[in-house]
Amino acid sequence: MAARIDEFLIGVKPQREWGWLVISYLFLGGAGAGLFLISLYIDHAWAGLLGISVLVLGTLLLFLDLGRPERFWRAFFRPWSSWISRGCFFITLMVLFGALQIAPGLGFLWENGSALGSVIKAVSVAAAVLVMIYTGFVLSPSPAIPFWNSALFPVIFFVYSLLAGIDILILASPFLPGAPLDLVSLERLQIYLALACLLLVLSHLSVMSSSAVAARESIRLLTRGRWGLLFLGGVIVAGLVVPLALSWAVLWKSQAQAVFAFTVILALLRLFGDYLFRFLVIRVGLYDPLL
Amino acid sequence: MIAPGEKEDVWIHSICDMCYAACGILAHRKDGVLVKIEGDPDCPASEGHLCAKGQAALIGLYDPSRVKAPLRRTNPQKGIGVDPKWEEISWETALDILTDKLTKLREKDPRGLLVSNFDHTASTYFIGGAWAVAFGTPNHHWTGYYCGNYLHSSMYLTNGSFHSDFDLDYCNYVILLGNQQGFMGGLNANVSARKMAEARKRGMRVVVVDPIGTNAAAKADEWVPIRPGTDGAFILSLINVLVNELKCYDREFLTHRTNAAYLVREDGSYLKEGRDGKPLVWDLKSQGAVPFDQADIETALEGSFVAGGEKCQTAFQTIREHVKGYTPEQVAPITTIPADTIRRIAKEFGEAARIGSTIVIDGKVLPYRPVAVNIYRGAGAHKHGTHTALSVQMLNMVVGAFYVPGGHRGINLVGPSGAWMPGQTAEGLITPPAAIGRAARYYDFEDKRPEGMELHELFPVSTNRSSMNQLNLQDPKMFGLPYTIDVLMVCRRNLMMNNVNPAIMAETIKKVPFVVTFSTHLDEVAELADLVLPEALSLERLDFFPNTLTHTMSPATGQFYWGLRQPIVAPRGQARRWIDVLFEIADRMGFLGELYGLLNVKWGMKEPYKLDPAKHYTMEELYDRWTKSLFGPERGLEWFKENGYHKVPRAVEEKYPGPFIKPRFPIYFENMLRAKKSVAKVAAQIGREWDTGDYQVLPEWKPCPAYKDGTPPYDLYVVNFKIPFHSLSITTQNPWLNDLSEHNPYAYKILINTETGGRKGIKDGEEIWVESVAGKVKGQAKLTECIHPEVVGIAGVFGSWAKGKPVAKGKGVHFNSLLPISLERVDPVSTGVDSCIRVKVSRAA
Amino acid sequence: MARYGMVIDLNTCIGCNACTMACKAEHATPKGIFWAKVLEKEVGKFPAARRIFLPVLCNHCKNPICQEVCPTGATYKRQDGIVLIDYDMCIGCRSCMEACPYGPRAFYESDGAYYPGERTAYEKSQQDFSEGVVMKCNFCVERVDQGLDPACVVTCVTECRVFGDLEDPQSEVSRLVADKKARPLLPEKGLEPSVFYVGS
Ligand SMILES: Nc1nc2c(c(=O)[nH]1)N[C@H]1C(S)=C(S)[C@@H](COP(=O)(O)OP(=O)(O)OC[C@H]3O[C@@H](n4cnc5c(=O)[nH]c(N)nc54)[C@H](O)[C@@H]3O)O[C@H]1N2
Ligand SMILES: Nc1nc2c(c(=O)[nH]1)N[C@H]1C(S)=C(S)[C@@H](COP(=O)(O)OP(=O)(O)OC[C@H]3O[C@@H](n4cnc5c(=O)[nH]c(N)nc54)[C@H](O)[C@@H]3O)O[C@H]1N2
Ligand code: SF4
Ligand code: SF4
Ligand code: SF4
Ligand code: SF4
Ligand code: SF4
Ligand SMILES: [Mo]
Repeated sequence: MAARIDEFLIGVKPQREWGWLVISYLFLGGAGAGLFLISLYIDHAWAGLLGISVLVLGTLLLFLDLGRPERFWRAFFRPWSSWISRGCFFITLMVLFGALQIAPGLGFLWENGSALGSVIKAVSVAAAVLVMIYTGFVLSPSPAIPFWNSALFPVIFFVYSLLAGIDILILASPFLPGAPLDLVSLERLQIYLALACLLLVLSHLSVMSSSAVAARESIRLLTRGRWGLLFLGGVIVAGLVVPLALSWAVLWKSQAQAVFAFTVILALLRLFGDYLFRFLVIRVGLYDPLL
Repeated sequence: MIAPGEKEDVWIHSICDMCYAACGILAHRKDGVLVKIEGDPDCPASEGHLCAKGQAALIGLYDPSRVKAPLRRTNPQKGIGVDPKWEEISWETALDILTDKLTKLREKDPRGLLVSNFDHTASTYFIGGAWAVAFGTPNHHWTGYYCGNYLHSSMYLTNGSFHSDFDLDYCNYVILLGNQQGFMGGLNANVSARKMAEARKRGMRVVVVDPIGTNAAAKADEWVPIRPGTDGAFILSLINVLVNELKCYDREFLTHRTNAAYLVREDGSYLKEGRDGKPLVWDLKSQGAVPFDQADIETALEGSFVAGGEKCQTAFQTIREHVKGYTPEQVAPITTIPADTIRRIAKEFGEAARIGSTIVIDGKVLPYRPVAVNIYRGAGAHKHGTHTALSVQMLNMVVGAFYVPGGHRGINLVGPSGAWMPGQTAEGLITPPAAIGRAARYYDFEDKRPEGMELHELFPVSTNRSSMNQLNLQDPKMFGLPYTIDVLMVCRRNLMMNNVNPAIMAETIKKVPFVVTFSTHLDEVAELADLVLPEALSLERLDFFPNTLTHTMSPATGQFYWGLRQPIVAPRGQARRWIDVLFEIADRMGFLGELYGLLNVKWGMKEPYKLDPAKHYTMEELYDRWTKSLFGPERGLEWFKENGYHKVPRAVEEKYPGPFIKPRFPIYFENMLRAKKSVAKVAAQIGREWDTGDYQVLPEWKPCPAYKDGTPPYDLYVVNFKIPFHSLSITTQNPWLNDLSEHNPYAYKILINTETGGRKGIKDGEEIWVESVAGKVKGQAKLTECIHPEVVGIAGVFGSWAKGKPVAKGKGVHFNSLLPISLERVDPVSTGVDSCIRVKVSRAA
Repeated sequence: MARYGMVIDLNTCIGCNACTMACKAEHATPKGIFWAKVLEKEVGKFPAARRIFLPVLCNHCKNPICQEVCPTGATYKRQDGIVLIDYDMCIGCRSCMEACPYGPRAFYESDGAYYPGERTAYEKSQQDFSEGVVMKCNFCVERVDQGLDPACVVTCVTECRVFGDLEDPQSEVSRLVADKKARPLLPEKGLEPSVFYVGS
């Protein structure tokens, strides 16, 4: 048994429970919902379907992470106190209403434009937004892990989810049935979103740098410690700054028709940065020392 | 015992066997399954509390790697890691083989049988001794590398008992010199820990002098890190400050309760009334030398005189001059303890002693000396350890803290209702009561050629010469004993793990033609055996009184008590109690009657319970008779099974016998001169040069051999210490305790001072080698501030390698592999093996 | 209604881990899982260095965040303040573990038998949980309901652990909390633990 043994020491301790399944869910769930949201904006049912599928895939991973997956249904029982319970409803709502929402676009069921249609749309939008942000609330209200204990997380997760959603859309665009996508305007959107991510992440770090011991240690790990290279190089530079700069340089000024290959590379970089961000946020979750 | 499947829910009185503290337990058995063990609130040793080991005993009962049937070796090749190719045989066959070997041996020379067992099972242990005597061998006490060599000898000599202890009920200031009494180590660990906690709440100061920041040091008011092997110098320096600088000593006690006032001649011997008469003291009234016990005299404690034309002085005068060589300034560079610290501790100790004060307990006015310095294993486990222990006792005596409230005391010097009392020599000095003293001869010596493996006559002042077994086995010609060992019988002793240097030990054991072990597991010794007999685990066993009043029952237990270890479940497989098997062997070989006869004497059996040598008794019947003989017909075995404990409160005279007994305590060891002569004669008889330099009237500090080998590459000392949740090697196969140890930051590690480690480029958690001249071990480094910078610390008795102990195997580090053994490396008085050794450390990369 | 709590005297605790093992024995907790632990820390530099022992367990908080975040209701608080987990309801999502700052909870993933092969007769008869759930100190509710003190308290060799009703001003725990300025761990987290510490 080569499992890491947690020595009985007083000190800053890393969280060890949430691993790649949860991280992947955070990433896919957010991205799926973000993608769905964008699909409404650009009115593209197939994109919406992709968004829902990504969310379902993410949820599947979350399900696999449970100790007793066969009892998953019990997770719906405490929506008045538990964000995870709420999340279960959000996911369900989004999947159900999202499916209803996109059905006509795919040629099913019912005619768009009815009053019922607006309700469905409103609910699915709300559900998608909630799916994107609730994971931030799962992390943030807990006083246990100071680095997560920040009101910014729901916002950060929202923006990152949109960013990732669009990136997945960009990557999927050649395979997507339906109307062709306007990659240029999507890529433009990404410039704003990436900028927002950058500002939010940096302000989170600056808030945390004057927080509890464990939060400062998290920051140390992210900037100078074990994860310094991945965070600064991966999340910040490769995931945000480089795509931003390139995008800016190429798209903003020149009205030039974007080459698909170009956006693909940028999207891949951002997705890499986004996943890494979720990964690192979870990995540097540290508890304060008890004494 | 109930049949499996039957419904029941019972709590059973029994006694823990995870260490010799023998705490009372209540075992919860439900439908035939032991489900919990708790402390028995009725037991004075546990008071309802159990330590981690006691709690964990439960899971050990279910260990699937237990030995379940007798096993015979089929592979003639023996060695560490060599598969014996065991063949399962019946008990019948096993006993046939064994009795055949023993019968032949007994005809040839019974002394060729060596028995090695240890005293956790207390009175059962003494039956083993009686059995050996009935068989005809003097060799039944191989306890190897052992805590008690120097300790028990020094205590028998100074306090007339087996042990060193102190009165936690009243003590206000204690110096724990290399031991953890009161912190889940040492004697009656549980009740002592409880009383220590109380005493500390009361404000008792605890000074822990130890190279390692142990659990005791963690809680001490002051941790004084000391260089290993230098405690003698430290203690003698405290005495020096007290008697020469502060003039703080208990004049009354020294004059009347010790031999400090005895007049000694220039050669160190007593000035006596005639050649064999009583020692003399100086009477200030008559200004002349008179017998020490003469009435109406005013005895001089200090001074030099001329008596009968001979120059003499009091022993105390000699002591004062002797310790002048140990000023704090001289001792500081030896011990690494700053001179001011030594001076301050001496002052605090002296003040806390409240010399002259008294206390009234149960209507008796007693001297009140609430201080003690306590020694057990660590400080004394060195060459010259006897000197260290005797210095400690001198310090306790200097302030009069001896068998009085708050001070040092031994174990039950006076028995219940005065059942036993100490004896007295012609010089008026204390001797252990017969019930306690095992072969302790401190004042009269037989200058005869040694016959036993332990070479008693060469170490007359020692009560346990166990390490000599090892040397004699290693080289049978060494002392020219007229026989060799043909059969070695081992029970509950891990000669490989707990002795020094397993590589040599294995070679030694291999030399014995036939080795039989009674084993619960195929441990490191069983791996070298020819025949393995499955032994029942303590929770499956009936054992005679596990805590013996005369040896291991600290007065901290408040009451004298007798309790019973009774089986909770039936023995696993074909396992049996070893003592039962011994009785059966005696029966088969025809000396059962003799054994009964010896037990009648040993147990002081009264009619009508005396054993009839012509009869057979079961273990239960023997027990029943013994308890009834002791406590009357209504206190039979059944009564103990039901009720647990027979208790007798300790009277003041039994708790604090000091002021009530006549014999004096020796603070000046004149008998050593006679021992020296005797040893020289014995050595001459066997034609050996012999170092008798340690037989001195007053202890000195002398460096261990390791003290001077501080040259690179062996630049550090290695030190072993006990941890509260393991005892020796027996707990290492326990999976709960192993689990805990794996989580513990220290248990399985090699401790190095952060700075020392840093200097050597060693990082925390890194694999390192520790190497001495005798061997090397590997383990994970733990950089810590809680260790002397010159020291490497290794806990417990870990690092097992036996396949039969899969839980213990490969866990932690085996300290004893680093120790060599040779005559030069044992304490010449007690035979205690020196555990002081220099090592070097290097990264294992 | 009672509110059960514990006071631990750190001056007295000697780090012997009897409590750790008593808890294990009482609940047959799986391999690698300890509901009671004794944590350690070194303070100061040689020779003025010292080890500190900190026995920890679930704090049975007045505001148990573990209960708040639990999506199933498996974690619940009894009237007497004891915070428990219903092993039949727990889905093993571990959000309670992430949310609690004190680390008393453990996820029993699999393979918790102490000896290879089948669980022992003792483990079979004493374990009331299955794999895939989260577990923690239950304040020995099975004992408390019978009027007994928790196993760790009973066994503690220095008697430095005291258990009782914090709501009853006469109880020893209440007195200790009142007189000796007992404090909980990380009070700033706002969970209002029912386990207090005195001394250092
Ligand atoms: N490194 C190191 N070495 C030491 C010490 C130390 O602290 N550190 N301490 C020294 C001291 S103070 C002492 S007293 C000695 C003690 O040395 P030992 O008496 O050898 O000590 P134990 O480790 O108790 O060995 C007991 C053996 O008995 C077996 N056993 C356990 N229970 C039973 C049982 O019920 N029946 C039978 N038949 N066998 C059983 C175990 O498997 C084990 O092999 O060790 C000394 N050696
Ligand atoms: N928990 C537990 N309790 C036990 C036992 C056990 O194994 N575990 N064993 C029982 C037995 S058999 C015995 S003999 C007793 C022993 O009881 P103790 O004597 O209290 O046991 P140790 O921890 O071995 O004490 C030795 C201490 O001496 C220190 N030391 C080593 N060398 C020196 C030195 O040169 N000078 C000084 N001043 N200190 C030194 C070590 O660091 C260590 O802390 O405990 C008994 N009780
Ligand atoms: S101190 Fe010794 S006898 Fe007492 S419970 Fe602990 S291991 Fe058992
Ligand atoms: S200590 Fe943690 S697990 Fe225990 S009640 Fe408080 S929040 Fe819940
Ligand atoms: S792991 Fe179990 S107890 Fe913890 S939050 Fe999830 S369902 Fe509740
Ligand atoms: S109260 Fe009971 S469950 Fe909690 S730590 Fe103590 S023994 Fe374990
Ligand atoms: S049993 Fe008591 S003294 Fe021992 S570690 Fe636990 S709390 Fe401390
Ligand atoms: Mo010992």
